[in-house]
Amino acid sequence: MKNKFKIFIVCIFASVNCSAEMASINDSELSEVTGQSGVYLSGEVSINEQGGPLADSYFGACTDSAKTCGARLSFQTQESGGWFVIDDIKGSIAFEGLTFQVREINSGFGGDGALFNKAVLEIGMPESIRMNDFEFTLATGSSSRPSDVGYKQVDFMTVEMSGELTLEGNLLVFPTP
Amino acid sequence: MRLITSRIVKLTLLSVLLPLNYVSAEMTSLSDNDLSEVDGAGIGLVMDDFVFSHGNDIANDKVFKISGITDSAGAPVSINVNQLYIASSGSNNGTTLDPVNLGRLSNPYEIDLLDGDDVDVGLPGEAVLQFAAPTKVATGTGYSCIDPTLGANSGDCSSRPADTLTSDGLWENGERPDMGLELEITTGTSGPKNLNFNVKSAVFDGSYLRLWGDDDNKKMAAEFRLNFYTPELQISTCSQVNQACTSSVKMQDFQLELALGTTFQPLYIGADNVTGGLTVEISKITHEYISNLNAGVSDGTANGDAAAAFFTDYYTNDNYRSNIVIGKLDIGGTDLGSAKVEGMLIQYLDVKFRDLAP
Amino acid sequence: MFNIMELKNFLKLGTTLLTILFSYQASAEMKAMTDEFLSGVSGQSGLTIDAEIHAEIGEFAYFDDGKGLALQGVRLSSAQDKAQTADFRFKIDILESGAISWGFSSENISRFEIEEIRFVDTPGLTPLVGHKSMGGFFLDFDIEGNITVNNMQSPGVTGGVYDIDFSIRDGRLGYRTNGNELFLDGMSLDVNSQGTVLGVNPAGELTLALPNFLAELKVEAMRFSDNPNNHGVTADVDSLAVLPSYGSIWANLDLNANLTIKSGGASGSQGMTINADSVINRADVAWGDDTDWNEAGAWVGALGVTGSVDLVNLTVDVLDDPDVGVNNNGVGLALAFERLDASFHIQDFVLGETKQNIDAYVINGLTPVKSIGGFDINLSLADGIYNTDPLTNIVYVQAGGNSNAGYQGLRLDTQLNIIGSANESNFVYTEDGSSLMFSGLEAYVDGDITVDVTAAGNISGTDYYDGLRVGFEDLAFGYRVEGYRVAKSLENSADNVANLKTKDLQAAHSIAGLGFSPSMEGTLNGHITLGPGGNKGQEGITINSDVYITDGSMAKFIQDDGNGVWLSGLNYDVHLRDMMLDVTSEGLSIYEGESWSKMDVTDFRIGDKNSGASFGRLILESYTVGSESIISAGGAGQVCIGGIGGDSATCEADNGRWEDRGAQGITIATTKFFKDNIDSEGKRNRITWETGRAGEGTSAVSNGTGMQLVFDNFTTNDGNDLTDTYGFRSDYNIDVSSTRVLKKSNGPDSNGVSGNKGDEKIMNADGTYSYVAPGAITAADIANRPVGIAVRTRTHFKELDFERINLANPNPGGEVSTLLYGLKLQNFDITTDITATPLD
Repeated sequence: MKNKFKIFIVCIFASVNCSAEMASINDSELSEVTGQSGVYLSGEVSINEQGGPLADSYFGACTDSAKTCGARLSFQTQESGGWFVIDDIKGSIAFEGLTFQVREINSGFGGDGALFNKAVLEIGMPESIRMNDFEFTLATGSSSRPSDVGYKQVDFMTVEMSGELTLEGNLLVFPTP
Repeated sequence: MRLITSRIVKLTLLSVLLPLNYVSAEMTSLSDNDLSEVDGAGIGLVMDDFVFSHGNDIANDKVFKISGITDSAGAPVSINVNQLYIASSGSNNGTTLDPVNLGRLSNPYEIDLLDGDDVDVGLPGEAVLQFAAPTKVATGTGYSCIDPTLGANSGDCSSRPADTLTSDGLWENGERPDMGLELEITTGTSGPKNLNFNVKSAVFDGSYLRLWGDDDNKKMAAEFRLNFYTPELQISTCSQVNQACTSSVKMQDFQLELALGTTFQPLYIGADNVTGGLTVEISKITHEYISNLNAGVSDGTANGDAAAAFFTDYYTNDNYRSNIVIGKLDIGGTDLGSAKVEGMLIQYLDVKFRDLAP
Repeated sequence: MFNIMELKNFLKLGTTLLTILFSYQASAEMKAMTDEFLSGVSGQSGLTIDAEIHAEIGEFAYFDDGKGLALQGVRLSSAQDKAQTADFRFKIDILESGAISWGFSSENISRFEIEEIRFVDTPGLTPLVGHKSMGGFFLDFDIEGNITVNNMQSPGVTGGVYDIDFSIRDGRLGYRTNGNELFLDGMSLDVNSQGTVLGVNPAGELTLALPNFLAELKVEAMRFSDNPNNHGVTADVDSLAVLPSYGSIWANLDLNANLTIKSGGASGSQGMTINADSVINRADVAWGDDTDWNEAGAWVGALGVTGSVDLVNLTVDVLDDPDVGVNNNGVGLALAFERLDASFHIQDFVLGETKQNIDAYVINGLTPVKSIGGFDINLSLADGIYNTDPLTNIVYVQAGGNSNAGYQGLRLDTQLNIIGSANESNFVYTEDGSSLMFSGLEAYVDGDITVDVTAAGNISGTDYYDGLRVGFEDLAFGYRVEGYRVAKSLENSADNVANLKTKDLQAAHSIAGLGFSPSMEGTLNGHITLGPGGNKGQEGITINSDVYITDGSMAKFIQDDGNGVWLSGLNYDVHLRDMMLDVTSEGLSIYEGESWSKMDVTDFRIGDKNSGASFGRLILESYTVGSESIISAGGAGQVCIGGIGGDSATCEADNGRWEDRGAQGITIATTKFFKDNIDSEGKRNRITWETGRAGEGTSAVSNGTGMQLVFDNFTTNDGNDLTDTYGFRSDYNIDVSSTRVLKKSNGPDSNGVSGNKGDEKIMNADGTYSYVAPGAITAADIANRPVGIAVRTRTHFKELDFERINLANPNPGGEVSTLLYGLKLQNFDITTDITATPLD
């Protein structure tokens, strides 16, 4: 494997037509050639599939159609103003092959790699990622808690996703000086 | 591509003034948003070999819907997203998905903390949170923002088109994705209608969102610049099966440079604490020494001079103006030539959304 | 073989010793027996001696090259009243085999005490009151037993062979400093050592061999007293209340050991060198809380322990500490060794088990118990280098302890080094047939550890708390593991460890819930004080602690190429008040009265530990009150990943994957209450990211000069701003178990094994692996899926409220502005189930 890798690098710099054995190896395969470290993660993330711990005038069990059982995130951009809301977040995401490694990049990327020559945190997107009734609602509200007296909420839209997603690639995270 | 709709939109007091004097600019370098001096420290993000695609496909157990929207009669509008994709150029409206890179190692997407005292940020005493796309580079050292066929040193965008020839060989991925949002909208009793937005080789270089705290007004303030360049933006009502149909609007050599909010006229986005609706405002342009001006001319005092200089810059600086340029507009096969809206300057904006239903 | 002459000499010796001890109280009956009289002694008649002993020795000192270790105020008397005698009955018999049987039994509870242990230059000088001392020790005992001196020699050893068998009841073993004492109360000790050899070998070394050493220790309660009037009593003499207890202790031991002592130490011409090796055939150790030694109460214990300890050239000298004059260092008992190899295999580590079940398990190892699994601990201590510092193994045991606490106490100037570059030292966790090795452990400590028994109060500006105080003074420390190795476990623990060593090394990472970091270094100051009493019932441990780590670094993720995610330039302060440990039927229960901490990371680096690129500074401040954690045996059990279903069939019908993680494993359930800030006491919940500092990216970076994003004052509440009873709950289930690993792309991987995208990785019996197409997977393949670390985390809370998100500009004229006036997370119940396996 190491010899193949050396030949490949020589091929790049020599701009020579390399032998047919060396089918174009894209960056993700290269990362598997050099990256012997790192972890491979698989599993699932499930949000409020059985509801959440709150029970009041707004939140309740998932079986109760009058109540919301998803999680809620809200933030306020103006003092004594209203709140931006991501509401009713629930569902699950099952994935296999989320990888995590610290990788030194000093080649590839159309020439950028050699100039970059530093380490990055590489988070590899899962081989398969499946959503199960994952949904959330974007809205704005008049006060911090939906259980407040006189609370008004304007919903923009609800997004629902299920099924197998096509998501490939690696997210590279690194500090910018 | 973000689709924002709401139950109703009731616009109050929207006023966008086209100033009497404005500077027209060349098509290839409309504004000089040169951010290369601003060096914020922070986190760089690059997507390598990226492909994303999801769509509503009941036969394959895939669901991707947007709901919660009602029409003016109160009937629910159901929107199926047939496909949302981000892939490399040459995707043929999302049917062929090859990997693309987003951002470059030397010029990534960034989340930074900027020093407001920096003259290029212009907010003394503040710390600024910035979300930025790759920055533009000096004109002539980068790639053409619109035309992917021109090679290196043809423009000021750093994101490279797919299959660019570099010193390291052929760079297949490029940093310009094809993106698309294909919707199927069903309202009430009428059948489903398609609405598709497909973009080729999209470039966002030079876009940023800067956020800081305006403690005097007790609001979060923002400065938003959106640059969007594409050789072709297509809006069509074609069905999912026949994406290349003729009922489409094609905008070629499309350039959008949107400026919302500045350091002295920030964009305030909030929510109303009574109706719960979204509010977007840009305060009226003013200056602390505006009273020292007579019909736009200084009264001779130092304060008046400062105010005059400020307003002169305000009206002449391209950084504060928005432009939309379409190189060639093609509707259903008919070529309508080019169209431009240039030099828009937002002097005041106040938008409030609220629910019409009681 | 004895001859009568030797027998006579022995009896003379014995009688002479007894005479010395009785010198002040001997009764007139004691006359030296004549040889002729003794020659007639044999068989059944024997000799019975009733002795009432009250002995005091002002000073007993051991001198080594001019420096002496002195035991002062040595006394043998009655435990009740030190003015009264310790009463014994001795029975001496000669058995048919010619062996001499020396039986002894107490007539009352005796106390052997050493009041002070000091270092002296000249023997016999009256010590100055307040001159530094290690403190006092005492042993109370009611002993009954027998030593049989066999009529034979052990081959090669000039000496004797003894059969020892004794029991101590109503015992106490105590340590006193500055009027406070910590002691084992209600202690029973049974010792049986047949064929003990004590003598001199041909090399001139004193030899002790214990070929069949059996012992059982039971301690009813370990108690603490802060009343100087109490001296080894169960109830306080003034208040008459029973003294608070840490709990009960039980230990069981079966070992073989050999020990040799030769003259000459590490320095000078005098001193001692000790070599020892022992094989532990079985040991069990447990701590019980509020127990009746039967069905009531709960125990934590390491059961079925086997192993070995091998000590090479331990030298004993009395020397000046090299740091003499610095930090209260002076003369000490220098214990240095060339090498110590210790291996322990713990078959089952139980949490929250009854003594009745533990006893059943000791008899029959198949008895089901609440076990988190088994452990193997392999440590090699020897000279070595950690980073660039050369280290050795030496402890200077000195007198004085913490300087403000009083003149008594222990100061241990310690340098210890664990080597692991060839995987000599490692740690293995085995549960439900799978093992995880923390491979290549290297560690060191270098600095002062002080031991005192302290009482709550403030002395000379330092706060003290009730209990055993372990202090750290400029203690440099470091540890790292090179990575993880995982495999299915083998029955025999030695084979299992050897097998794991052959496995691929995978990146080591923090394991959620355990708070384990693959590497950590720094300088430690502060203390941990372990006091008596817990939160539930009467017994337990209360911890008060203030720990400061400076100039440190911590890794969150390390790969075998040395790259990782590092928190470097770490300054970490942790304060615990009234953290109470109890054992309940659920397991180990931890209640935190009040805890606050500040973790200030100067550089959050990726890549190399010292030169990796930095994201900037990260400060994590935490303040919680009344938080609780319960650690229990058992992991996630059976889970359905990616679907919903209570059994394998329904799970798979819902497109899920069914995994059975077994009955063992670790479950940690935590509830934290994040409280509102108290700025004057430095207590706040806040996360700060600072970047763009002066000197950013260099080693001369200046904290406080960069722009900051601050998530300020986050608190929990029940969603109504009135109560906070639910808190922020995280439940972790940690298992080592198999999972599905899919190949991400076509072609060969980094180990050269080929496969197609979507193929499953299946392990072969010899430890290699191959990729199998999904359609070709058999049931046997499923059983051979790769082993990984499976952590199921459930985080749930009613409301987490961030008071402000701020942006701060530190420049002159700069200000702190608010970006978000509020951020609320409500009604969250997130479960993540993630298994980590090596990336190929």
